[in-house]
Amino acid sequence: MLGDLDAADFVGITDEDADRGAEAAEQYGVRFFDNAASLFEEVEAVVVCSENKNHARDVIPALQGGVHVLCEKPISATVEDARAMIQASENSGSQLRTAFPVRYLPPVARAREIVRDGALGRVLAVSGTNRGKIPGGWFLDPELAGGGAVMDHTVHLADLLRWMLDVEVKSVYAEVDSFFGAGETDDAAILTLELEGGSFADGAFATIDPSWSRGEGYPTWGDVTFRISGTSGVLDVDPFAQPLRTFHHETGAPSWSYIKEDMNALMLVDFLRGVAEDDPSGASGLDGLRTLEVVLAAYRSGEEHEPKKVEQTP
Amino acid sequence: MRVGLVGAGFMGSVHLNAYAGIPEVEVVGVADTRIEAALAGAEIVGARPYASYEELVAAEDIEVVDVCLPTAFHRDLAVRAAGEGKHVILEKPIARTMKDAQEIVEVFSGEDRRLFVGHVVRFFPEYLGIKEKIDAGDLGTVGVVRTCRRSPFLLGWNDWYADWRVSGGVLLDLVIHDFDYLRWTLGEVERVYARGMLGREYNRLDYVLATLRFESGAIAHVEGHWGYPGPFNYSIEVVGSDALLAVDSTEPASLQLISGAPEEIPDLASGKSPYENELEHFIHCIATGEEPIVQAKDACEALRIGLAATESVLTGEPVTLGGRA
Repeated sequence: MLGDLDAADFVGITDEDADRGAEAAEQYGVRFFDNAASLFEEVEAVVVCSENKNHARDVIPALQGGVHVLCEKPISATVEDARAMIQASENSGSQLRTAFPVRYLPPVARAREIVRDGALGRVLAVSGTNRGKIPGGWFLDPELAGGGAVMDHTVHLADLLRWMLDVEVKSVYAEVDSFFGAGETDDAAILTLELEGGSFADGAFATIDPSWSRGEGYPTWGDVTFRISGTSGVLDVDPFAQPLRTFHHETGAPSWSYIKEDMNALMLVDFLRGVAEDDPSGASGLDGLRTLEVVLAAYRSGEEHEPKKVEQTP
Repeated sequence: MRVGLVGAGFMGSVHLNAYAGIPEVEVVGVADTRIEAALAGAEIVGARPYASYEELVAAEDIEVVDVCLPTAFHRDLAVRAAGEGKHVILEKPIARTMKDAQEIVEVFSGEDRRLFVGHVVRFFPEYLGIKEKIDAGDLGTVGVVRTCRRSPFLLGWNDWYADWRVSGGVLLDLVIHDFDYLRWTLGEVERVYARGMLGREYNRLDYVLATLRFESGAIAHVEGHWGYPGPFNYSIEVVGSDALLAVDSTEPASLQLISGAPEEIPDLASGKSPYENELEHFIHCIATGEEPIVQAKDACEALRIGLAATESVLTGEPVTLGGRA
């Protein structure tokens, strides 16, 4: 995708796994760098897609070297890592953005306008889902990922709540478990969030279903949906509900492919624009940290079966 | 079977329309303090209208009393009818408080008189179908369930739905359907956490999001909305270790007439309404002595979950359920 963007000159790839990195570099026709430092010397911006635990390791040297960073979500597995990344960005003046692509989907951006224009009246509650299939690899390794489905999927909705409603998450209650075969890690949960702040949603509550509850046979990867109920209306948002539906004659297996704008492309274009225009708008490192704090409170609540205050690091 | 119906409001007229299709039933009297409501209800089934239960029972020889009164009045009428040797069908919820519910169950225990509570969702074919598949093991172990039930606000007698002390709000009047169905399908509830509008002084608007944790381990997310600005609708999704099942009342389109205001209760164009199936089943149980699909103790347990969710909304803390029947 990077290679397709007019605004980007896609320079190269680095990867701990040199075989995988070299293979990808060849596939996209770019250079392979056998260490991150040498890549950072030659670029203005990087996208960091390493394991959650390794984000800080990769992001901080980039920022210190004057390279702008778009970091995959969640921003990190720990508050300390996120704090250090944000600090590095502040010290170096290089932009740190958290990859929250859902913000860029046109129905989601439109939903934000609708709710902020007051069409729903006072916002009472939001019911959100970000469900998917069980991912593979390091996502199932609690050490590298910092958690399972709650770590992987909560942050998109938590970010949308903050971004759309101008609220912070005050406390979280969560039921967390493992049903669907993720092994060592959690794959099912329901979170309930108390929201505060803002002019039209203070005191509202929200739920997030981050479960990996879509099986291999599900016709699409999963979903992001949210329903905002207000005093004068209800807004249902299901941005991916615009699929081409394929039914294979022999296997009978249905497959839905989304046909509209690619949210990751829109996010990358905005990141590159921000770098070119020296405009750090978009989801910041702090936005990433605030959603990580929600995740960590959810895990504490899941263990102790009581609502947990979201500890906001200064 | 001779039936007298008390309370010819919204649910009363739903029941009367269902009785009209049940040949074994003769509704002989319809009572309502609002005589025009009693007249309109009586007309549906060719019964005589009365201004009160007392007048009805004095004038008609009935075997069954169908109670569609506001929830807080269930206990007094049920106890009274039991004393007069009548079988009683109560619209859900069984009562407004656990104490009332237990008192009702008590007067019907060990007697020939029977008590039935109208948890009608157990008679909806789609919900029945999901339970059958779960029971057959088609889904494997059930993990996450999501239910939703949304209704426009009903203007009842004296606006009783809006009075939380009388109706119990969306949790006890609407969401209790899902609580009963989930308990029937997944077993006992261990813990409930809920957030809602209670105590926030919104007039004719109630909304709740609840999380239930079952003893089986399953987690259910339950949404309820009173004062929904669209037509009545419901949905359920059940995900097990082997399969996902989903039903959404807004999707079936077997028969669509587009002409003015939407129907308040969706007609899935099946042969009989779930209410007709439910009431026919209750009447059959009276005639044969069979145990009903939904027993009075189930109605008490659904109420217990609803009250626990209410407590959670008010306190902000999860409530662990104990002392099951």
